Amino acid sequence: MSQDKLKADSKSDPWNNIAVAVFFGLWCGAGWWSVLGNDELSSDMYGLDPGPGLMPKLVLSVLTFGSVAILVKGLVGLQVTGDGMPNPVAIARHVMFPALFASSVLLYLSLIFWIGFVTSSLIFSTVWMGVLGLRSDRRKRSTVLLQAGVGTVIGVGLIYVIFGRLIGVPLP
Amino acid sequence: MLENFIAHAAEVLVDPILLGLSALGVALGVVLGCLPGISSTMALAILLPTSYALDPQAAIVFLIAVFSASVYGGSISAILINIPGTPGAIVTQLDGYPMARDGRAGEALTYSLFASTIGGLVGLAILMLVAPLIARAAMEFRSPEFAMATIFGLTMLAYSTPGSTFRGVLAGAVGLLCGMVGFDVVTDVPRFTFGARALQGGIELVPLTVGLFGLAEVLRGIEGGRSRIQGISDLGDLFPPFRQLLSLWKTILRGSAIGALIGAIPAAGSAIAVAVSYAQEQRLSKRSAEFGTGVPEGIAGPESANNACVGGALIPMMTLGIPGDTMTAVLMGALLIHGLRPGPLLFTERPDFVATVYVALFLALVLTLIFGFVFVRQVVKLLRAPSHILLVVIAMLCVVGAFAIRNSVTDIFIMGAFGVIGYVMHRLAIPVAPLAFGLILGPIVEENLRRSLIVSDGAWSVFLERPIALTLLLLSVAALIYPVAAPAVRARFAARRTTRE
Repeated sequence: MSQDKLKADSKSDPWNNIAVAVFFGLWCGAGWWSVLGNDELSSDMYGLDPGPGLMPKLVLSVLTFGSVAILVKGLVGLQVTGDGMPNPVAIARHVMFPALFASSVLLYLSLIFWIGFVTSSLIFSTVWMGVLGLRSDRRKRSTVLLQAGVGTVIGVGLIYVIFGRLIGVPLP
Repeated sequence: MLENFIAHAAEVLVDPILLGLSALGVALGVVLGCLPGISSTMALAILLPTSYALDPQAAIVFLIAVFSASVYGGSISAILINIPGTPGAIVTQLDGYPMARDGRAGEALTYSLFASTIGGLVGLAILMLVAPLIARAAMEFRSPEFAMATIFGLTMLAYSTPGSTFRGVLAGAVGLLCGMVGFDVVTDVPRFTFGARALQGGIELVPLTVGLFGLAEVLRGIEGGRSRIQGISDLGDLFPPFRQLLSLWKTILRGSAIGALIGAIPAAGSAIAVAVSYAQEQRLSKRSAEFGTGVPEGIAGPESANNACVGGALIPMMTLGIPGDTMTAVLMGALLIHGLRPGPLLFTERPDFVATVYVALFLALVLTLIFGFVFVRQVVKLLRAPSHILLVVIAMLCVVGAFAIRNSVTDIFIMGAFGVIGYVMHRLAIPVAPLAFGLILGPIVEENLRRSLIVSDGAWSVFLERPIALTLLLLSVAALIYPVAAPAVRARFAARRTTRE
């Protein structure tokens, strides 16, 4: 299925519209909380300059209006179609690996500043190249693990040489 | 202009370091561009940090080589495995893959390479001719015109993803908010810092783009779970009959013109240009029914449009400081880091740098042509590399690249956060590119908007009293209303036609 068709299908799905409204709504919430809690943004002591509060309020108003419009579209769509909530287990299964990977990147960052770039990168790279390789082809275990080892050495080595040595980035 | 170009060409061609950087950029661009799941934007985003250590001239030679070569690189996987490596190659696969399946893969790649080179050269010629004119006209721009031009650019970015205009506008609004994080440049008032010192410096463009276009794509690739891709590996004879190649000259020129024109429209992008070119060639061809079965025009037209877009997209970026597409948005980040502000002043204050851009693009096109013919068989073997290995290496590149900007841990976390945000946006079918555009254009809009109001004693009518500003404002309003009004108007006409019948 093409990306455009996927996107078209998503946009007509009421639950997708509700999720999108929540996504933009979170930005609105954080934005308004910051703006309304900052008296300097509402002050009129800037003379002819409309002040630092103009653009934030304009943009947040557009975002708020848009979020509400998409939410209403989603709720109306839900009334019409009566679709049940998407299966959270199916969604979780789909995003499990990306979520794990993103979390492990956080762990990787902590390790970089604790045990150094090279060691932490060797661990991160070997583990993930192995896991992802085995996920796609369990039959050729030894080949996958060999590829993970070789890929790790070459990948980490290249990054270290280019950034650490050639460019002079102070990698921990 | 021509004398400047020739003088700089000579300077670059005798410098082994600049030549070497261009060749390296071309090699990396073609390789990364041809790998599915790694777009041209991603290639540019992850290689951008490597240009920090270079001086501005060397950095732009390298990055433009990556930019230009990756656009061609996407057609290799489109032809051989029916998966476009870049969005601009999305149409090339329609005739490229069938031709490859018929045992003429080498021919298809040659049509693509030949058309790409000519298209790129036409785009460059148009850039060299048109950019100085626009820059001269833009010197008459004042704050109201710049404010409206940037607003026009922001509304046009909604069209960067047809069918998602409204969500694109909202994503752009999020980008505008991100651009306001930190201290206000006029009054020093902190905005959206939430009391965190780390946010007082604002959100840098480069970690955001590395996260949005690099890490987010890695997360998408991991979700996909695809490891190795099977494709056509026997290229056969690389060279079609010379007469056949020459007979495509009209197709290539048409595609080049379409690509350069559409590329010059802010946020339009190559995906639109290639689609228009393909449709045009099919309409004009005597064998339109054969399109989709392996017709050379179906490859040459879109590929010339795709590469002409590079020159076209550089026009608004260099003359007005408005990115022509997502790749030029990333390129702008590189220029800003090196202290160069794209816009009309670039042509008066740094004409040498402008000439370097022209030469860099010319050199990249020539080197891509050579590289494409000499190394295509070796590049094809790379398509068999397991994608998960590349994805993990790219993730590490994103981390290190984000750190390399200011040696700041904050930038790594910004990159990580926007990587996750970008992934969530993909899952929700929200276009990502407008967010980056909003971050770039937001500060420009605000600065010029506020300056306009200060100069006009607070009168908003300043945007209506100046003809260029008013024209741009009306175009922006029309661009916003069109997606909503057009279907309604079309439906009304269709109903009237039905009633009459």
